[in-house]
Amino acid sequence: MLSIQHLNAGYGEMPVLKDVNITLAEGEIVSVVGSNGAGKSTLLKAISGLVKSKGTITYNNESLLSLQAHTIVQRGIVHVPEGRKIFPEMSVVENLIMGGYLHPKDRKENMERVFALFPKLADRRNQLGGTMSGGEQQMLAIGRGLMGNPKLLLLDEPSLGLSPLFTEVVFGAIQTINKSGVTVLLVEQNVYQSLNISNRGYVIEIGSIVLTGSGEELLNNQDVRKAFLGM
Amino acid sequence: MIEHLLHINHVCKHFGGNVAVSDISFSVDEKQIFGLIGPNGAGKTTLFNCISGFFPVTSGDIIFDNKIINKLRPDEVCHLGMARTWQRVKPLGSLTVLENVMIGAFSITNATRKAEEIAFEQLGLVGLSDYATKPAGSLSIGLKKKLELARVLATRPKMLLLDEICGGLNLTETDTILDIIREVRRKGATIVFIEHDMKAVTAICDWIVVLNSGEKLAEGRPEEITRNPDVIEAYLGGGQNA
Repeated sequence: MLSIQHLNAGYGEMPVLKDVNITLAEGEIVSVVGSNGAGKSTLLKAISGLVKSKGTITYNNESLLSLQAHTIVQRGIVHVPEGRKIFPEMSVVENLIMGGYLHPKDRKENMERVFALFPKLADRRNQLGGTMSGGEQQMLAIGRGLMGNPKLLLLDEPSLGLSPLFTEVVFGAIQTINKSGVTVLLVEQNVYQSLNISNRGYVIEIGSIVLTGSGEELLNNQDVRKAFLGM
Repeated sequence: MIEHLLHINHVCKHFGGNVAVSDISFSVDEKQIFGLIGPNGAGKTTLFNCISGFFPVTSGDIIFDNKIINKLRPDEVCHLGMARTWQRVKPLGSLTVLENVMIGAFSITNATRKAEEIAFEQLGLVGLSDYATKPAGSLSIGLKKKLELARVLATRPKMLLLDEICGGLNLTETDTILDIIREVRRKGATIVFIEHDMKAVTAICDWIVVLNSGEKLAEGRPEEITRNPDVIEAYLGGGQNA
């Protein structure tokens, strides 16, 4: 479904990703694991067209590199960015409508799905996004992403700032979304949980992929355990 | 009065008809590491905003170092020795790491050289000395969190309010931050700590208050809190993150 080859990307003069190769098959959950500053978010931004990159990114046999971000969204690639980035002056419902801008016909159904997943958002539907707590904004950011009918969902630290209970809910939700046919590329600091629900994973270090394997293989890998699981 | 450094006395905070904090009382002792946990939207950050002077309370009192502080502005609260960090770290990106920390130091000195000296000391404490001349915007999130800590430490606070200082960090980075917090306490400061990373909370906190829907759900030592059925139901869940 998605094939990334020899990808180089960065900001201005500063290179971040060096010769990165990643593939995703339809229906998979794939995790990218690595320290802060390793290039995980840059990878997601390169896919969604927010960062200029060199190399090849093909999605369903079409090159994404020449496409602009809004066209990439139309192809069904939805990016839930790190740090929420909700519209603070808009209500919860308005934020969700923005997420479903391209799919007005599915709006009602999608919104009900989001509210079922995050009842807290239903309680606060008319509240301004910016006045909600950090964790609630995180829920809204994920919900807004789901409004866009994703075929490929890019999730950048979806559990950031969520309570332990809600972290479980979100990881459960990612699996549910995946089972409904959505392919997921997941970046998480919660390495145990993310590898646990992933078919495969990649470990990224200073902009390069250094290790890849099934979720289980990586969870049992000595280096991964030491570096990311504290075992 | 007993030797509590911070006393929260029947504090309520309403936003219109929305009750964010409802009749909360607790006390923080000197040199304690005090955890404030609870579900998303429970009112933790709102309470921090009240304590640090960013929001006026609707009713109740906040007493810090034997002074009622709930009518004071944030800068006045800071001058009394209370400093806070924010969930979303926002350093002044085009200034250097050192200059960002100097801004904190300027709350206690007018002399540039003295501010620089204090800032270097804090950078050493958090392990950012090598980054002093780098633009703050270029740091990764892990290092930005350390910068945030250095910046508030430069105000030489008696009490630090830390809002999800470990959020978005991996295990190694979290451990480093916890070591810094222990060192800060050893030097005499008191710490109130909002965090969802329960490994970090139980590793470092002497005492924990749990908020739920603006009310106090429980209070106790970490091992009591993690076994409390109400807390498990409202907050922890039964899984890997608990």
